[in-house]
Amino acid sequence: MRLAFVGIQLKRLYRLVLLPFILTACILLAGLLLEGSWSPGRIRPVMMALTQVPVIAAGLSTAFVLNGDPIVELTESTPTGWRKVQVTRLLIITGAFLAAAGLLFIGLHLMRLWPRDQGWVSIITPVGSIFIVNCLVFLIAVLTMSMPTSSLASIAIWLFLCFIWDPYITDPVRQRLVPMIIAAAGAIFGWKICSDAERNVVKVAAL
Amino acid sequence: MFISIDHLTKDFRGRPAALNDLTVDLPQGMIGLIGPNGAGKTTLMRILTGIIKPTKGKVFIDGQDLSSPANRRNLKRHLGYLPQHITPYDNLTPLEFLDYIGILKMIDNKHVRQEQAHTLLEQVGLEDVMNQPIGGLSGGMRRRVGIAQALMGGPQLLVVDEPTAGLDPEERMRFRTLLAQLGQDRTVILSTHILDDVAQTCPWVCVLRFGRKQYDGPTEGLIHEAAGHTWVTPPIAAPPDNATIINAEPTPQGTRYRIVTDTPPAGSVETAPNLEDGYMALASER
Repeated sequence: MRLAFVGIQLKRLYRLVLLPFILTACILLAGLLLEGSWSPGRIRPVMMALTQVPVIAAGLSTAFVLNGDPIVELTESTPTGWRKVQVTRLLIITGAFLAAAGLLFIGLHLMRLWPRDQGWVSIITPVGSIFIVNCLVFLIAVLTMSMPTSSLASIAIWLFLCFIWDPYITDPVRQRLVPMIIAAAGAIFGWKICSDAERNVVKVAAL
Repeated sequence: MFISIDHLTKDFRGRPAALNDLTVDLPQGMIGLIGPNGAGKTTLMRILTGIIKPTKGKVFIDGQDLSSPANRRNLKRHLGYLPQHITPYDNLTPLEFLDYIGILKMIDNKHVRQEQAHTLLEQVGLEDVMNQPIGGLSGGMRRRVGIAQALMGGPQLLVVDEPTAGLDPEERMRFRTLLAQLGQDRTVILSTHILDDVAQTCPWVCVLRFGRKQYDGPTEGLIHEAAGHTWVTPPIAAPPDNATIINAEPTPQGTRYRIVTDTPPAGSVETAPNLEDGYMALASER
């Protein structure tokens, strides 16, 4: 992929790329401040709630980034095509949130504040959540090309992981690996559908 | 570029065929594509730009068959397209937007992109606002950004869909002069409902109706369709029957109608037809 192409997408998205790092810094700062005054047992439930914020933000940011572009038809008339634009945007936003999630885990793990910490393997929990949410939001965005639907879907996926899946599957690897495989399959399916220029143009025109 | 369209059909699920066995050859230069809403103009342009594939039939551009993905990719490198509804990113300046389009068109050299963007923005008269956000520009200026983006990469085929819709008369005049200049050394397909734009700029015209070709040939030929059938009535109270009314001019004595018919009311004077008359004469023939 050409550098100029990635660069211009990065330029368009830079505010959203900074968002996960700002969130990570805020959560780590909160952890540091609370560490001095509260016991770890009291801080962990707060951290459990705060560590969900980047997952929700990732889903909503991805829904925002992948929808509402006013030049889909024009992009399809160029040799680059719409799929390359969408996939590049997905990779940029997901990459930023994954990196920030990794940093968040490392910070909280070192402070012994990561909820349900089972060692370094627990990094798969935040990283996996973001991977799952973003892959599935990509699929929904490709299928519907609608920002409200994609945003609602991102919340629904997060709710499923947080309240239905995670409480019952406690082993971190099993907890994330199965949904990650399903999400990756969904993203590949979305990637295939996204190559249909006619569908993309007609879908946008119908909105 | 010479475009040859061979028995082209495009079906969309659950709707009548957008294009129905269309066969037409389009020469180099300015070509007007006209027809009523739903005639298949936009579908034809999307096929010509390689965005959608026909259900049946083929399109050849300079002998290259567009059904081959490699030929479609190659075409897109030499294509400029201005879709009907284009809203350039509000937060970018015209210069940044053209740079972005240049990247999409795979112009890798930054200096080449920037130089082209500057030249084109000057050509469309936007040199004073090239560094202002597009969101603050007038509708006419945004359309000009649209045409400038279509010209990035020096395309040999330019496809423009309703480029003058919503422009004020001054902007329209400037726009069609620009299109006429562009048509001197490339193929420009201009789809529009504004027949005056076609009359002023296109030596060749193609008329579509219900997805079929109704006329294809010199613009003069289409005008000639109404020769001997175009009349101006004396001021009368009610519009004449069995006539296609082109326009109506109220006078104190009644309304004077410009009509296309074989049976004009008494006292009507035959007049030289224009493209509108020719188009309406063709429409009433169907």
